[in-house]
Order: sequence, then structure tokens, then C-alpha cells
Amino acid sequence: MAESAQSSLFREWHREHRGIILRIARANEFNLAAQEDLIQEISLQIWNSIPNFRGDCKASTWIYRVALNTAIGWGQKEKRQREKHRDLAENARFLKATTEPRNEKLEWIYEQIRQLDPIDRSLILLHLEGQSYAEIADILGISEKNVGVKLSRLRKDLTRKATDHEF
Amino acid sequence: MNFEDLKVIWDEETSRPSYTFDADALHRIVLKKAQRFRSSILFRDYLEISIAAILFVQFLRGAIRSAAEDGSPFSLMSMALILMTIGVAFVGTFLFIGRQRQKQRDTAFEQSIEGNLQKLLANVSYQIRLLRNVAWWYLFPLVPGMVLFLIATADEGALEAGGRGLFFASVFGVIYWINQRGVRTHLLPQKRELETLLSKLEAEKTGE
Repeated sequence: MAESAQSSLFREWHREHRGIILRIARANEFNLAAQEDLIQEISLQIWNSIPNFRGDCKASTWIYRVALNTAIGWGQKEKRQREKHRDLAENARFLKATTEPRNEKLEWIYEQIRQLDPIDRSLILLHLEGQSYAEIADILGISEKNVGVKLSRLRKDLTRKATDHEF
Repeated sequence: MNFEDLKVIWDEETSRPSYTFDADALHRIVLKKAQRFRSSILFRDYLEISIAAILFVQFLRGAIRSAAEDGSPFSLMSMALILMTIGVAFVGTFLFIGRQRQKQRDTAFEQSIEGNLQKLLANVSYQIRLLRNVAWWYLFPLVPGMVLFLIATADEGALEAGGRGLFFASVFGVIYWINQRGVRTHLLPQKRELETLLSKLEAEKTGE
């Protein structure tokens, strides 16, 4: 694949699906600098994955897959190794807060998701994002039935915590 | 409160995002990183092999020169350098084959999260095996040549030869210790964590 075609697809994906990358970064990292690092890493892996994209699934499914896999691998790396990735971003911060008021309830949801293990985190994230059971099963590599069973428990847990929190 | 209420809050983020990013700036960073990533992979792949190749040539030249000076290809120094050449060739070939196998292995996994976890686990397990056995593939192949080299230079004085022997042994010991420490403190916890995640997915697959 020519680099210009790769670059054009990368830009298109970033334009259309940047929300996916942002939300996955926020669901995995608490502070802004770490989120930026993870966004960079996810974007790099998406860039590297473009030549392997055959179009046999939706672009969004592909991006979820690459982004969640990167986030899991990212969590595995030592903090020291992760900080090595920061050098280039140091001079070019690109993540900016919008003028929207801070949504405390949303922050609380992110906090709960960050406390889950990477598998549950991926499941609930994909569910909140509105992915179907079939898509979640495909991204995770498990059956739809098991997605349903697992999500039922996760939904119940999250709802109970929200009720206890007096949302 | 039910889950649908949480979903409504989540969806607000899509319509009114709290954060955004400068796609052009990120694009520039990713291009730079992709370039750097390619060169670092190339550098990593060829550095060890290049060092082994340089040492191979140097030891071989030394062996030939020594054989010519001593008038025999079977002099102690010449034999020591030939053994070092063989040892270095073994280490270089081992590293090269290992790297190629790892590349082949990486393409065999599915791209789902389960496939990715299996790939990460296979890579960590390979690293553990490699570092645990560092003595066999990295240190011991060089030992016969080193020992013969020490014997060949023993006539310069027992103290010097002993000092050199101690130095080589210390270097080997430190290399071994660093590798085993890496396995204990970094790779084994990583392996356990991956196994836990994978077993969780597999348990879900089988409906346990």
C-alpha cells in the first residue's frame, strides 16, 4: 500500500472515529498526559495495521480491535517503558479540553470502568459504545452467548454501584 | 437508576465531547513515530547480528594471523580464536533464527483480543525461555575459546591470567544475573497476568 493511500485512510479514520480512540484512552488512563501517550500509541498501531485491513469488517470494528489490543498491551508495559513514548509528545501536546462543562456522572462512569480488569473493561466499553453482541464477540474472540452472560453481570454491578453512589 | 440511564450519560460524551485532539498534530507525531519504529526494529534486528559478524571476522583474522606467526594452525592461541569464532557464529545464528521464528509466530494469531493475548503470552514465554537459558546459548558457547585463550596467555604470569579469568567470569556472572532478574521481576509477573486474563476469557468461552 502506498504511503499516501495509508495516510489518507488514516486521516479519514481519525476524522470519523476519533471518539473511539479518545474514549478508550480515557477508560484506561486517568491523567491527561498518560491519555495522550496512549492515544499516540493507539494511533501508531492503527497506522501500522492499515496495510493489513482487508475490508472484511467495518472500519470501526477494526479500530476497536486495534485500540483495545493496544490498551491491553500498554497496561502490560512497565511505567518506565511507557514514559519512553512521551518524548515526541512533549513538544506537541494535542489533546485539548473543550468548553463543555465537566460531567461528574460521566467521570464517575469512567472511574468505574478504569477499575475493571482489561477484559471486563473492554466488554463494558464496547457495550456502552452501542456495539452489538455479535460485534463484541468478534472483537473479543468469544461467543455471543458468553458476551450476554458476562454483560448481564457487569451491567448489574455498575447499576448497583450507581444506585449506591446516589446518582 | 438502570443501565439505560448510564448509557444516556455515556452518549452525551459523543454529542458534547469533553476532549478533542488536533488530528494534524497527531498525524505528524504518528508519522515520525512510525519512521522511528521502523528504524528501531531494523536497528534491533541487525545490531546483534552485525556485532556477531564483526567479532566473527576479527576472531577469524586473529586465528589466521596467530597460526601464521606460530607456524601451526594447532597452536593454543590459534585454536582459542577458532573456538571463539565458532562460539560467536553460534550466538549470531541462534539470535537470527529466533528473530525470524518470532516474526512467523506473530502472524499466526487471530486479531481478536483473545488472539492478541495469546500472542503476548507466546512472546513473553519465549523471552522467559531465552533469558532463563542465556547461559546455554550465549555464555557457554564462548567458554571453550575463553578457557583456551586463558591457557594460551598463562605464560605471561599466573596472576595476569587469573585476573583475566576472574574478569571474564565476573562479566558472565553479571550478564547471567541481570537476565535472571529480568525474568523474575518483569517477565514472570507479566506472564501470570496474561495467563489470568486468558484463562478468564477461555472460562467464558467454555461457559464455566
